[in-house]
Amino acid sequence: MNTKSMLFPRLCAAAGLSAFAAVAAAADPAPAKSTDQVEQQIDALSQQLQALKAELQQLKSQNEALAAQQSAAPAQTAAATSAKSSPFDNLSLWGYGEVYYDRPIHDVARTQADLARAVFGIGYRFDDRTHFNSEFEVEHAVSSADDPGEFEVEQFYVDHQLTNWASIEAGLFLMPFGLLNEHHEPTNFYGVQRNFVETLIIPSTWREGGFALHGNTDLGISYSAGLTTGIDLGKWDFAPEYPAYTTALELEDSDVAPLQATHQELALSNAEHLAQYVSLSYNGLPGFTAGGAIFTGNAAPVPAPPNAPLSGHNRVTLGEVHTRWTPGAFDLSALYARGTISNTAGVNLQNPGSPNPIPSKFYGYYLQGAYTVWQNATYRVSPFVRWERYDMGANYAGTSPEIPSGDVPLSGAPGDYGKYPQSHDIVWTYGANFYVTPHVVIKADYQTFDVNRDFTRLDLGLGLYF
Amino acid sequence: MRCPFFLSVLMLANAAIADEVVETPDAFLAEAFGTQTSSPQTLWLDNKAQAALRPIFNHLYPQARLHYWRSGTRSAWILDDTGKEFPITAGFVVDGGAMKLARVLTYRESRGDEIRYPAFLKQFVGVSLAGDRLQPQIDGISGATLSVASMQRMARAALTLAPLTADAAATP
Repeated sequence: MNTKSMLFPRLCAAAGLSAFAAVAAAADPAPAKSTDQVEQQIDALSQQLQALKAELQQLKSQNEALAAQQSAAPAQTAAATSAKSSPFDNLSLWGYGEVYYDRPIHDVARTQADLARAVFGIGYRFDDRTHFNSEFEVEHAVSSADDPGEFEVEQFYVDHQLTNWASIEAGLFLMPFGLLNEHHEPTNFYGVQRNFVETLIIPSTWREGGFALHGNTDLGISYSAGLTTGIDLGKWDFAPEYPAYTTALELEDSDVAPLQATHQELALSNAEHLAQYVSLSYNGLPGFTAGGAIFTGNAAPVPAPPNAPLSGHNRVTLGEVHTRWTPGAFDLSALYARGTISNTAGVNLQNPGSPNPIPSKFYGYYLQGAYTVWQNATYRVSPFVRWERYDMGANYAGTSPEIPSGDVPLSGAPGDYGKYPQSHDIVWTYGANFYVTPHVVIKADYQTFDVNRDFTRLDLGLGLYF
Repeated sequence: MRCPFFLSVLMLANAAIADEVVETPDAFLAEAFGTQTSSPQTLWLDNKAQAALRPIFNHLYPQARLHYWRSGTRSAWILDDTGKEFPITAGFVVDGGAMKLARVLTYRESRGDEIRYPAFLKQFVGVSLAGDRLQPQIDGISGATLSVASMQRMARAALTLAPLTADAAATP
């Protein structure tokens, strides 16, 4: 019932009361005081009636104007009718996070639970073509000098759209490599933790400072090309006191992989040498994507003693190709990544006996298949299986890693002995993602390792993204 | 060589347009109805309509009324929904409970505008509501998950709203 229809009974009631009061006043031989009261009531009712008439007239005018507006309206979008009026409407907030429970089944004493990351994003839209995005991350719940956590700026860039097919971005941004790096929120990948290839070979979450031109075309081709900060081999640790990792969880968090250990994340980055990258992707067929990317640049060198300077540059190159196909309830993907570091013989020879020399080649690849067995408007269950192989040191120049045989101290804790982990493995992962909503996922998986067999583990996880 | 290239890139900005207007509403309506585009009708989003929309968007649709266009049994709808941060404006044509046309009109998100690709939009032709889902299923685009979900929500909304109009009820 609209306002106009509600007014009509009110007018009738007011008119009726007025008439009744007038008749009553004429017929009732009441004393003068009562007659005055009735007259006052009649005056009040009369004023109310006039007010209601005016209100009705106003509503009629508004309705006529609205009708005229509707008939003359062009194809007006809903967005236009909800035009933004406050500067805060240009502000956007988002976030994601994930919690792990990780139980190595052969070494349950190393079972860990972790608020692996809590990330909050802030964006601002300066105008229709210029926006700012940033993400701030706390890893491992508590960040302090005495705790394992870190606070990081994960993204901080401005993007300006030049045309419908070209934009330019500058700042600290994610590198467009692989299937996961740009889409690393826990609802976007299978398994409690990210796959090893896109952690150890492609160092997700991989970001660099610089600028890039990117966009896509109606043919379904997306591209990105940029000039960014590069790799700093000066951060390499040739002589770790203990193995950098003793479990699969620690392996992913250890920053021991070639590019994990040496990328700079725009933290007082050495920018003597800049790197370049190009990525291409095809999304022209629904449910199918294929692409690849290559990154190359000279690295900041390992400091050498004055009496034994190293000659030449260390060029770091990483390339990858990937594809994903999601026909119906299936979700199939594959990725291959390979990296090289040149001219490492000299620096490796300067660190003889190292269990961790700089590799000249590293690679990894995986195949993954998932199938949505059940879903309704809210819930979804998708089991998956993934096979992956990685080798963080497929080749070395000058020397090879000297891995101690037998049991070695794994940490400073008394009696904590075990085998020194190998830098290559074949991993099977069996698990399922259970989506409580499209933005909240509960995960479980079981991983087996062909080489580092003690890493075999059961994982449970909770992830969210908003 | 670098300087002329950079200047030419900057000059492209002169041709840029506000947001990413993929198709104007007028062009969409011409595509939907040819030259027979009628005046817009109004559907008040009363309790019944909002109750139908709420499970789709997980919130009330933030308007009191919606314009739509009708010719015979064919109705056209222009809707807004946010993928991640900002609204995507899309147009849908519904006839006899099935989708006849889907178009992205204005894209405002920073990533995911691959939903404008014809091959993706072509999937919506012929889809209908099967309970609370679209049938047949729409294949997604890797890297544009939220925008794809937004298009699916708006398509469901258009299919839901079309039978609620008074002229739809009067149409045999």
